[in-house]
Amino acid sequence: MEAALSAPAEVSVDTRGASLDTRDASTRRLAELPFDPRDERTIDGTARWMGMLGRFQVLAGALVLLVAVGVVVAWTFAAVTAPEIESDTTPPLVRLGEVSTTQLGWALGAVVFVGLLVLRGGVLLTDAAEDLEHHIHASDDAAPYLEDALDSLAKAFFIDATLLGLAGGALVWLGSLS
Amino acid sequence: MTELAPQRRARRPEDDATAPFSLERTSSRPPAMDAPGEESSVGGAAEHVERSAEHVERAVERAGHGPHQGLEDALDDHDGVVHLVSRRSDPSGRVSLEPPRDWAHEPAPVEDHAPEEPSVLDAPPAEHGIAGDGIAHDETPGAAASVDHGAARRSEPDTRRLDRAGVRATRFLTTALAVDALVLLTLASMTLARLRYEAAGAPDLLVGLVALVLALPCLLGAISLFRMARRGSSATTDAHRFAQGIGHLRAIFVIKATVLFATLGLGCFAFSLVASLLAVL
Repeated sequence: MEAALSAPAEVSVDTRGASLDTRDASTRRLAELPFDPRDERTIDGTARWMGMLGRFQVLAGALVLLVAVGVVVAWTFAAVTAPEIESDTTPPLVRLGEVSTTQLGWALGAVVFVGLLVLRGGVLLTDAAEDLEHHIHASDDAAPYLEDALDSLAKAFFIDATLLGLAGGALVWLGSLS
Repeated sequence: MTELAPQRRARRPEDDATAPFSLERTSSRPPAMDAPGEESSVGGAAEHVERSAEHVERAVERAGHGPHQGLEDALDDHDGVVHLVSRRSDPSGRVSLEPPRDWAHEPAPVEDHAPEEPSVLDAPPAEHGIAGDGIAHDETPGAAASVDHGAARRSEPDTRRLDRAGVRATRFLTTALAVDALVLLTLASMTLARLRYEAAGAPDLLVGLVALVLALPCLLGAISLFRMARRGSSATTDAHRFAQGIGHLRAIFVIKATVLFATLGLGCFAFSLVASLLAVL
């Protein structure tokens, strides 16, 4: 046992099925950071809000996709069963004006893209929150929960930056139109 | 020989088995202990015990996870001097409490029935450890061991660097936060710049302010994580900076979750309202 303690390198077991890896003894993993209870409470609270936002984002993304699918279905149904003569008693609820099918397709594609981004961001946030909570509450040190959480969180923030950039671009475009 | 990585702080059964100790968290000595002749008096000890009980109750209430968690939190949260009051039960079931020895600046009385154990008080002060903070431990071997594993963990200054995976993950998140903050600041400057030319309305002002408010925690989190990813800090400092960086992001999540919840709720309410109106008409 003493020989193992005095060894220059230590071997950690990856419980997720990876093989044994040899690490330098002069480095430490993120999981080995000695969080005091106050830090753990901070991370735990952040993880809870993160998970909540992730679930809301999943709901919002699913709703956007559902609306897009509904619009496509309604458009297809209306195109198939389009009345040649518009009735005077039951006017259409929505008039799109001079909109071509191509423009509507681009708009629907943009909506679906944004919905998928929101959905993916929500899934990543939920994953990151679960990894953070697992790191805080579990006593297992071997699995890289913290690294995975940071990775998922970074991807979620990149998606967030993409969405914000799209929103800014849309604002500029609408401003130039008006 | 396979050596597992050092275990993080975890609840162990032996902790619970040796848990019945009390905590005193104070920064000043009690008046009853000032006079050297009175430190062993019953009145001074009783006053000290009462104050100890109040502190322990407060620690338990603050932690909210049961007495063991509260005591351990109070132990770990110490900012000044943390004192343990040993509580031992004799065979008759009576519980005796005694003040910590370092207040009286005299060695502990040697008891006839128990062998003298080396106390943590005798150890030299450590950098981040509890051993140098003046904790008087119970002389019973079980209690000493239960407190000792935490003290030994903290007394070793860990100056190792983060490994490559940790640095890569931290820098990845730092970059993402910086990019997000940059986009938010650009959005805020775009909308607020329109105010200068009086071309913006209330929605633009709202968007600009929200973007500015969201950009600030992003920047703070990125700075904390960037400082953590740099080399040359101790493990305790790194852990604190990491928690600080993650904690800064909580404001973003709170604001976004609230706004998204309100949007979803209002959207669903409006949808149901329109659907019911259409059904009626």
